[in-house]
Amino acid sequence: MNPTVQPSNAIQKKVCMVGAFAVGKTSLVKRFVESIFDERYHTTIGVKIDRKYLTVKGRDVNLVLWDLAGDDELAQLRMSHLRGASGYILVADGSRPATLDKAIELQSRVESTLGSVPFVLALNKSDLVHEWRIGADAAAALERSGWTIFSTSAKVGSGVEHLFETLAAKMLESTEKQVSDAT
Amino acid sequence: MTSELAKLRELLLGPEQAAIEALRERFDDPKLFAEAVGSVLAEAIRLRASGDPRFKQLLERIVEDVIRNSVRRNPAILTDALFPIISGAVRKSVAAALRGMMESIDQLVEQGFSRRAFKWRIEAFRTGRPFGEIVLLRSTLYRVEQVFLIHRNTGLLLSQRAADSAVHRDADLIAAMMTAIQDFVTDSFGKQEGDDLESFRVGECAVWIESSPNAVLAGVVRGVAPARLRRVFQGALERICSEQAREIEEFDGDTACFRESERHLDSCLLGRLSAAEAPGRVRWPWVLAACVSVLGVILWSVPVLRERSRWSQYLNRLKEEPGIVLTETGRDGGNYYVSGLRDPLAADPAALLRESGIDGEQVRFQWEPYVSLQPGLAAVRRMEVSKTAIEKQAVRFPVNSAKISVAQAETITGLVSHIRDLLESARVVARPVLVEVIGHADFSGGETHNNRLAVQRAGAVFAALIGEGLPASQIRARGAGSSEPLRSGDSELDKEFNRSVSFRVLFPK
Ligand SMILES: Nc1nc2c(ncn2[C@@H]2O[C@H](COP(=O)(O)OP(=O)(O)O)[C@@H](O)[C@H]2O)c(=O)[nH]1
Ligand SMILES: [Mg+2]
Repeated sequence: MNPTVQPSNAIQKKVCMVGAFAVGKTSLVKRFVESIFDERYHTTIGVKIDRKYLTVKGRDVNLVLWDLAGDDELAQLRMSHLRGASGYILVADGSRPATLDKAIELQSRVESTLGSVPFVLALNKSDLVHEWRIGADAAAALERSGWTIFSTSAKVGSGVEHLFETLAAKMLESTEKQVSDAT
Repeated sequence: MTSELAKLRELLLGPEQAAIEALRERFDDPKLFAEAVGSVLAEAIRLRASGDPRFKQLLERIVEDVIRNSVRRNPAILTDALFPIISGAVRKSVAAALRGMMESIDQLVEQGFSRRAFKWRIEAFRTGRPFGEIVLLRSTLYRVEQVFLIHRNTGLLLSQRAADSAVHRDADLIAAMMTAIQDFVTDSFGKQEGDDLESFRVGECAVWIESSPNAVLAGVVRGVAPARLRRVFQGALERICSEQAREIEEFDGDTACFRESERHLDSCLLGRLSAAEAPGRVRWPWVLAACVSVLGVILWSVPVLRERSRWSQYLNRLKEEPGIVLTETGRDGGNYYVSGLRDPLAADPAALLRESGIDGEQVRFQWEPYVSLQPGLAAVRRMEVSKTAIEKQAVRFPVNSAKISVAQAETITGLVSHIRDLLESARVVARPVLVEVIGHADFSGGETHNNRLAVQRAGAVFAALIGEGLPASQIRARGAGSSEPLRSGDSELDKEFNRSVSFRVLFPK
């Protein structure tokens, strides 16, 4: 992990990790950021917060990542934690097709809370080639409906940086769009 | 006939009659009429109100009257109706007011009559700051180390300030965590919306949180802060929220514009810690203050000190001076006095005083004359003796001659010995000395001749002295012609005196 120096003029963005239990949300964040908080908080407070500085399109961006603890039941995913997020990362486990269905369901529920904000889908555990169960056709169908999908592996690190960078770029675009709409 | 007509009418107008009958029934029966009007009343009012503003005003007046009457008759009805809405707000404001009052009472009791409080009042008066703020600054040992301004909705950090300018590099994470914790508390304990977590402890620091609908101000406080501090936080947050309402509302991740609020955050960085609570930390303001006050004392006393040191230097110099013995010195009122013994040959104390830069008016001298046996002064004394002896001498010459007669040889021998003494004494006290040999002529004869004669006579004596082994560098010869007669008379005796060489001892500077 490269040492991060806080750029004072970085754009701050809150990003939430959303997905079924044990799909690798926490592992993806861990792969990507430096952490300062004890793991303990994660289970007690129900959320783990980390940060990642990125430079996207020449702009410094500070992603403040909220990794929500909890299992499949969205009831336990505190909707208050989603509040104010500029984007979110949906995570599914490529070896468990049910987690993709869960992700699709979660997406619509998150959108009803946050409105239409940028998100990307990570089909995680791409290193488990032999156990991979999600067909290319399912992913293609989602992409046709406008989703941006990455296959990632938190274990070996592939696709992780790209996942976060793409989301950051999408969020900046959406900010710029809002600004130009307003003017 | 009538019955037939009625039959006909019934045949022709039967259905209409029934309808009219039904209508009349509706108008006449209050219940039915109310039903009929009621079904269109809302729409009728809406239509009327949208077209005619006066109707609205009329309605308003009626409603107001109704409410007023209702409250007058039985206030409980409206109170009960509104309670669920306003109780929260009222409770909050009453609680805040009570808390504030308790604090003030506490503080008044605790500090109202103490000497500290009196000092603080003076400070408040002097600096023009509110008394409360002074109390806050001075009364307890605490320090607000950091302040965070947090966007309420996103939990993102808008701005932060720290007491020792080292802002926290993980402040953004702390801000988000604080927001998460606040959410957690609200969720877990089912508090009502608007009841926010007000503080929590992290190790030896407490985090005080002040919330507004769109922003949160969190201060990290070390030590025990007075509850009044909360009002400072509140005030700062209110000012920020009113000045930057739009920026907070439209916040989209760009924090640059919140630099404007830094001054309000800075106003929250209050307090101080004792040495025990801030180990190893040098509190520069205090060190600086101490330095400034020491410097102040020094500056104030410099003239006094300088004069004192001059005076003692002067006394030391007097003590070392040959021929001066101090018997008593001191200060008497604003003036100095010195008394002692002084050899008349010793240096002049008043002259030394001028050299040392002390005002002569300030010093009173009282000297008893005495003869000093100090080596330096003895030499001076011998020099004086030699000088007198030398200057008494004269070498006489016959008329119109520059030849030293045999009779004068004895004079020369005496002169040589006096001059030797003089030079020796001068050497002891390291004083430059010069013996001047001056040739004279009487008034007879021409001036040119006389001048030449005078120079020749001086030259003859000079040569004789050198011949005896005296150093030429300390003897100078010159002719005065007849212009510096030793005797101004014109008698033969006067003339004899004027045909001579005289001597002067000079102490060149
Ligand atoms: N093989 C493999 N295992 C993974 C990967 N990502 C996560 N895991 C494992 O999946 C389990 C759950 O991961 P975690 O990050 O806690 O999932 P979360 O519940 O979504 O936060 C852990 O045992 C991880 O080691 C991956 O990319 N490849
Ligand atoms: Mg997790």
